[in-house]
Amino acid sequence: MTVTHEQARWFHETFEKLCDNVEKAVLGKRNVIRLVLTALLSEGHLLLEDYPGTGKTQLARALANTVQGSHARIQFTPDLLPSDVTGVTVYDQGKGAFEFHPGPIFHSIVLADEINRASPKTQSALLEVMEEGRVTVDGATREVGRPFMVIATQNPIEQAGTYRLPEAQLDRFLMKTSVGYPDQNATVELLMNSSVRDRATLVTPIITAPTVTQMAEMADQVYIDPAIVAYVSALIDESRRHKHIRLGASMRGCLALVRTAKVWALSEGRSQVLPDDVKALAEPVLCHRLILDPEAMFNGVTVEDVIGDLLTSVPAPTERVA
Amino acid sequence: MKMTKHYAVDGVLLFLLGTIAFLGFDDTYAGWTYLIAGVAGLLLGILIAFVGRGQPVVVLAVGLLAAFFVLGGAVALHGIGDLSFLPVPDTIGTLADNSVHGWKRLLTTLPPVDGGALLTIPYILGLVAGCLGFALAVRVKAALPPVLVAFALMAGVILLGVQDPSKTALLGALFGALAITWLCIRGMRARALAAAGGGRRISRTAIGAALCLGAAGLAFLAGPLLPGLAPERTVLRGEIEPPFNVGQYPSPLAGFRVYTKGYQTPEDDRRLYEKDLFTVSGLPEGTRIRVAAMDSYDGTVWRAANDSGETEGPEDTFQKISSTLRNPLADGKQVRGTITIGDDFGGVWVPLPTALTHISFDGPDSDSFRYNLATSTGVLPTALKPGDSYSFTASVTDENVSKKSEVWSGGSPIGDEAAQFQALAAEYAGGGDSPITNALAVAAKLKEEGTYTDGEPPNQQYPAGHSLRRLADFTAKGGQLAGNDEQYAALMAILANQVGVPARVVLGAVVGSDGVVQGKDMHAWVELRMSDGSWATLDWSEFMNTEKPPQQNAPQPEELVTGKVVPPPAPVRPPATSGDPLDESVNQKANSRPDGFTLPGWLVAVFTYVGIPVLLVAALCGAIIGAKIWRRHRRRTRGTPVARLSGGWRETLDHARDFGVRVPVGATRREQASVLATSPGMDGAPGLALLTDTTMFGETGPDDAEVAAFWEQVGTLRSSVSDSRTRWQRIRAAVNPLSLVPARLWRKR
Repeated sequence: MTVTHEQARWFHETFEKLCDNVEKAVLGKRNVIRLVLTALLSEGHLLLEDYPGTGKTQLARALANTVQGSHARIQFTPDLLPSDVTGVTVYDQGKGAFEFHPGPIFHSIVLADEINRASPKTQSALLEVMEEGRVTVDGATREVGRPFMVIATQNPIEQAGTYRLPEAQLDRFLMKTSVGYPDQNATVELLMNSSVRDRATLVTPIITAPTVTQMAEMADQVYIDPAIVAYVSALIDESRRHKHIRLGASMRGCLALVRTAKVWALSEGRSQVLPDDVKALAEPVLCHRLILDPEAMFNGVTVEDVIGDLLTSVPAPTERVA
Repeated sequence: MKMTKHYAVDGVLLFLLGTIAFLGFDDTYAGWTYLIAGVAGLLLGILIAFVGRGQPVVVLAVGLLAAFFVLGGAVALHGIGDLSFLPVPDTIGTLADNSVHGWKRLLTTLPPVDGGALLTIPYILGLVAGCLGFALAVRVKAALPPVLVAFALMAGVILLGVQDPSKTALLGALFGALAITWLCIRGMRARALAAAGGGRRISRTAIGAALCLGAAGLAFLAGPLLPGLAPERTVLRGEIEPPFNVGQYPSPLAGFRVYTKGYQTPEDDRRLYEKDLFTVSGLPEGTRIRVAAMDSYDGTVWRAANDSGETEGPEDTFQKISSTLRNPLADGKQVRGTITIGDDFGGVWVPLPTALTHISFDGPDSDSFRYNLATSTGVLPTALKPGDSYSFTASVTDENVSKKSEVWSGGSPIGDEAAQFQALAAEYAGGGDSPITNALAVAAKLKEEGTYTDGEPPNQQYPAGHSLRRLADFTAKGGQLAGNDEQYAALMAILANQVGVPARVVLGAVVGSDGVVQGKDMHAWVELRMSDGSWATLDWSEFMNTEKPPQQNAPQPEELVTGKVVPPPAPVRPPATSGDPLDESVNQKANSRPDGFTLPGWLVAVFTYVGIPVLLVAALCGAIIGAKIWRRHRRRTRGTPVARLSGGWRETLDHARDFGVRVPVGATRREQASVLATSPGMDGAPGLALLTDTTMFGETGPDDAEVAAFWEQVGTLRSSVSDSRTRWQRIRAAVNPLSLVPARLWRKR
């Protein structure tokens, strides 16, 4: 069972429509939007890290709005409790029975705003649901349904009163990226339309939740040659042996790179993964999974530098495996 | 800006290393003109490589050739002719000739060389080293290759230089320190992730430089003390066999009778007894003039050896020299003199005093003159002619043998040929307490018992010659010693060697008060080798009594009582002016005949200096084009569909490289295509790259039909690229060998 050219073309066209739709809210950030949609269609979770006022929340809300499904926003604060996320069981005196009140996590797209402001206990409440797509409350396990995506945001400069996400938590995010400030043209256009208070409201649903699930399943069928799989494996392996890295990418990161590469290939209308897909996604998929050596960090080396070095030093395959 | 700084550093260091290397020629060339030629070539080479840094290699080669021929006259041939500084045909011909034959001429000319046309050699070395070194510095990422070029230049200078140059330690230490410094700089530059530790680069550079200087200083001080060092450096000058064979000329000692008063035949009027051979001016009375020194005996004649084996180097061979000569025998006061050849003297042997340091000819073709430092004799293969004149400077030394002299113990110049005289030598020596005593006793014995005759009537029974047979007769029991300088000097030298004193025979004369040397002034004497390697004179008066004629009634030795009169050998004619058969220029002069069909000289010159290079270049271009066609055919037809598909893309990349497009190495096809697309005619590259990748990495893989269709697209793109370029660009791309070099060897662009 493979993806036909017609299916690939349909996927590509749909993907472009989604991009156009979200771009109404976030101007001039086509590549970031493509990455966010790739995470959605890979059924993964996204971590947006950027300075205040760059449009992280707008992007998340626009993405939620473009899919005809339920979505919720959780503003993470230090006093947020795990039950505020997952839900709580309450005794109904009228019925004489305990009744579960689902939390905001039971939506298709969940926006976890400023996730690093919540306590580790609350952050951990997300662990199970992000990995397994289900929640266990008072001994009862409940599915959150498909599609399910957590879009978390965090601020890299305000450290007071925040709790750094643990590596295990970070590893559950499929990608990490930043939005960045808009360019000159986008800024001018935003200012000219400053009367629009909430640009996310411009985005209307153009795709249903089942279609998102269908597209994700289609992406699973994209062919990836063993030579490219070996290339991904070599990149991951090299990340673990790099002189500036204390902790390399996990197996989950390896799988994430393959899954996202398949979606990326389909988004370009191809039914097979190319080495370029892997190179294009290596940084957003791996950057939050690599931990720098303290000395390298002190010397100004960044994770992006290391990933660039990995992509340079590990030769991309030019021929398929015979 | 950063690249400009890199270029400047590379250029300056290459220039300094090249200059130090050229200073190694200080003892090979006279004056400083060699340094000017070498440094000018170096600068031009660097300039060509800098200007052509983005161009194919063939462009650099053409630039080098153009610089060599256009500027070569001004740099290397100035002062040789009126128009030599201009690229006129004569200049180009001289440059081309010296680029081929100059190496041999340099190696077979005794240093220091005047320069002249031989300055072409440092000029060529500088051009090639400068261009190659800088081109590698710019184009190759690795640190070592350009530094290796500097080392190759240094090695070339050493090989072309002299055996015992001066300032080797200083130059070597400087060169080593600079080379290591350059290596470190390039190594640091090439290192990836330069950001890491970037803040400490300055301190690391300083530490590295300090270590280099320390190592150089240590090497300078301790290097000469290290064990295992070769006593003498290897130079080509010591290995090459000089293309000259002095053995082709008859031994002048065998023709000694032409100078004597006696024997004369009606048909031979060559008797030179009272004729002026040459006139010496400027030298004090009593100075010995040497015509030939014979240091080899083969049982028939004493002759000059090609290589007497006295030294490891070429000093004991006949080599070309320039106007000046570094003569180890020249110590003490220098005297200037002139010798003018008379009407009745000729031949190849050039009369000269001992320890020549300078010579300039007025008349004869001095280019073929050769000199032997060990025997202090010279030959002119084109032969001296009446009226020829030459001036010289020499340190006239004449050491006579005494009983207290210590003799050389390193072996005899002759072999076992004359072993039959061992007993006679012992008998004449009388059992002295040292070899020199024995030799002097032999000389005294010869003088006491010997009689002198030139074979004139009535002494025709005493023939010329000094073969073993003649000398056996000469010393036969029951006979009397009767002969002239030829037999006495030959026998004396043989007997001296038998008693352990290395000896050789010298033919020459002693300058009289008027400086005129006639045939009667010619004599042969013997030289004995002293313990310090020098040769001391044993005058003919020590072993020969010229006033004592043979007794006619003396008992004849048994061998001569047969009644048969041995006819004297025909006088040895002086050698014809055949010149050096291996010397091309001399041969051309000697063998040229006016009759017969010969090609016009200009046509031969054009073919030699233009035709052959053009043919070589054409052959090279043909080989490059052929290799590319073969490669394309192989990529298209050989291997699996996957290999052919991949080969099609590589063919596209190589085609782009031929047109000077910098293709990133190690990138994916689509990344490479995005770079190619910026070049004219390569708009279709991204599409082709995508097609390659999707076919290559698709689920089923490429089949033959897909590969064939793909190669058609490759052909279309190639045509598109070619059509967008000029004819000259297409020709240049066709002969550009860059794509034949594996891409991984070139700097990533």
